Amino acid sequence: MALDIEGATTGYDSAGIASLLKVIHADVIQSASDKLTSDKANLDTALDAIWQGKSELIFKSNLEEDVKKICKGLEDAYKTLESEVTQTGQQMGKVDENLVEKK
Amino acid sequence: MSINDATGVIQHDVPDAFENIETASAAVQAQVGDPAGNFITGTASYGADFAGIASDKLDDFNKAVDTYRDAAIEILDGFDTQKANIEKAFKGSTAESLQKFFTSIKNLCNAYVTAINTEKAYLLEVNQNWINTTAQISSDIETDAGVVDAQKDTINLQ
Repeated sequence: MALDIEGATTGYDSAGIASLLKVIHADVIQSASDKLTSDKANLDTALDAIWQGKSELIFKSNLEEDVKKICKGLEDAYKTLESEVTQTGQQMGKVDENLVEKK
Repeated sequence: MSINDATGVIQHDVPDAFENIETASAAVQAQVGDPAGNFITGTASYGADFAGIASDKLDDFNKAVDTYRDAAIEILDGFDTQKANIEKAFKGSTAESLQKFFTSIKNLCNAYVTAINTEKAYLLEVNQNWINTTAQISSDIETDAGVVDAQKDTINLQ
């Protein structure tokens, strides 16, 4: 049986995945973090116009802490994705190295 | 000071007490702009305007926080669109990783939307408590002012 190996790859596009991960970080993670931060600034401005006092400052501060937690959580989720996908690529690479026995 | 002290000492003490109450009420009036008479008689028109959310601004407050919360929901919805576009490039175990990733970030944003609603509801409750508390302070100061007035009258008669 003729084995057509032309164009055979590891089944894992390392370069493509690396590019996709950058797109995911920029378009999903960074974009969401930036929007949350700018929306929070807009909220602060709106609140300052209608409310004064210590309680207002604490309310804004509480939401600020929540924004920080969310942004950190988004970043951590991305790092987990990046790590898992990278490991998958490395495993694919090892399979490829050992698939054909070297004489 | 003992009541058996010289008259001059007693007269000195009572005006001090009265001055403290007047000073306190004047400080509050300065912040809320109430005329002296209105505050002492306890009309409580300062109500929610004193360091809380002004009663005519509650709608603005609700709108501002709801707008902010809805913006977070938009981000959440955006994740679904982005996932649909990106997942086409992932297969096998990497597709599973991507699925977990989007599940994580959607859960995060859902929790954040819930947190915003909770903070708003809590704040509105706190503001109402503030209104109730300041109304009580007004009532208490009015009572104290009345007591000091009575004491002044008593001293003057002596």
